[in-house]
Amino acid sequence: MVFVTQIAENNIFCEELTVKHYKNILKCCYGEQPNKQIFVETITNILAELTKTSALFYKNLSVIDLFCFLIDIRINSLGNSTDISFTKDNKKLNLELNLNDFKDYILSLKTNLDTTITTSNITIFVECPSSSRLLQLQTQNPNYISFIKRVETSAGILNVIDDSQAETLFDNLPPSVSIEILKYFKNVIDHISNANYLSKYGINEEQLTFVPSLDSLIWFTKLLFSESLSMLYENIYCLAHVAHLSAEYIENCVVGEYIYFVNCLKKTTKPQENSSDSNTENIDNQIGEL
Amino acid sequence: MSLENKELLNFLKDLSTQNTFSVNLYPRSVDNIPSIECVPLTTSQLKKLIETVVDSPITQSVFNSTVTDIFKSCTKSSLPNDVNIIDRLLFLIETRINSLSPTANFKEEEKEIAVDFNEIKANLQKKLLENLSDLTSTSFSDNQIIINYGLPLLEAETRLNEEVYKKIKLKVDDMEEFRKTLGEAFIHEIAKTITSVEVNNQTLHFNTLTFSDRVKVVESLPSSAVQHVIGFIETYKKIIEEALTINGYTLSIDGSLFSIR
Repeated sequence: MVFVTQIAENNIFCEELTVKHYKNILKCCYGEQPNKQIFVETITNILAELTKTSALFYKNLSVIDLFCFLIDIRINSLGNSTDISFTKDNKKLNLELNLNDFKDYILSLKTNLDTTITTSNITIFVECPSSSRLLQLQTQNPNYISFIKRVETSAGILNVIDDSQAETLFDNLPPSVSIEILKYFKNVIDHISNANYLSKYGINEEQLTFVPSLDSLIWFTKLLFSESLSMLYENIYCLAHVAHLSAEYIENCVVGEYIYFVNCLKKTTKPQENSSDSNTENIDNQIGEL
Repeated sequence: MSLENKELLNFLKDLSTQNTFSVNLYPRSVDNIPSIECVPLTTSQLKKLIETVVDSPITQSVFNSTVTDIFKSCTKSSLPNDVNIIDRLLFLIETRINSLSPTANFKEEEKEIAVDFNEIKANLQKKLLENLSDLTSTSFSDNQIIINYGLPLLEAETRLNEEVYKKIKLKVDDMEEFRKTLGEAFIHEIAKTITSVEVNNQTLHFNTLTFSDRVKVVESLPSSAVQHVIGFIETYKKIIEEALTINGYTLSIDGSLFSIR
């Protein structure tokens, strides 16, 4: 089945996430410091397959639009909420994060990032950088250079393709224009620093803030798709071994079906909990909570 | 060169030719005020100017060299040979107006002073015309020697910076070295101002000499002759200082001019 989403003011039809894609998302996010290039390559290829578009389109998409699309995929595959835990007044608290609401918060960040700077006869288009631009960074977080997208003057239009071009262009702009770009970036930093999603719940001790960087995108992807990889493999094994579903079939199921099958398997194996059959006990204990 | 970089360079070339402005240079005579077309400062050039904020207060050589280089690269045609330090000052003020803003606020002893660079420019141009006779190249002669001198040319100053000041590593806490550098800076000012020396019908053009040779010649000149050169230097510096003073505040011509918006 397909669902429709809006990306950069375009309606995009997207197929549901399969277990194979889901597994690859978990794999590319796996570990303390996932490889950013592998993450971008994997995610953009998955999105390209699901939407029958090119991966390059997603690599050139702003990282906020990319993240919003991931949220939509998450909502349509695993539901529109996820649990987060944090500490308040030395107590551990859980919060059910409404992903539709969270997506609205992310989109509100975008309205402050994407804008134009016009002085005399030069117009600079600045926007949240794409994942391909962020991959070029030497530092962890983007600077003002990464936000320069396009320049228009009476002499013509220049679409900036990478940070090296952006830097050369910036150095050759009149200071009156470059100063405006720096002011814009300072406003971006101020706005993002004050945009803590948790503050709407009166929680200021902890931060849940999306920063337009690959580290932030990876962290939030892990939040959206929080099942552990080992648990996924164990569930696939149990579905194959106990429910006699072929691994190939399972991988081609959509994620919703996979969850349904896992829950069915748990129900069918539960009555066998009190039996003396130790193998069944082991299987039931192995089926992970989703 | 890749297509993208070629496109970028062409774009940048077109960008630089937009919004040109003209600078009226130092009046060569009352009826001859040459003017040159300049392109606006780029951000990269502005960064270089701001970096000179920590330049030595004695020599200001880094700032002067930076401005001279920018002056040469911003003019649409090549600079004339007789371009001097006042031409450069006029360019500096005009480029400040056109590349950043025509006004700025400066702090002096906790007071904030508003400076209008158009006013400074008008004041400077007026002072130059009023005092043209005092600023024109002239000479001193007695029975033995003729010394020709005038406003220091950029060519002389560039040579001074390249040959001498670039190699100096000033230790301000070493008083002896500090005194020595101060003394040398004084002699260098004189050497910049003198254009030629005639002795026994033989002319020594200073632009044919290295700067250290210029200094040697200056040091061998009679002090009675050099006094006139010093008088000329004091005159033109006073005229410039008066032109740069508005409402009791004298504008400093250094990197800080471009670090304030």
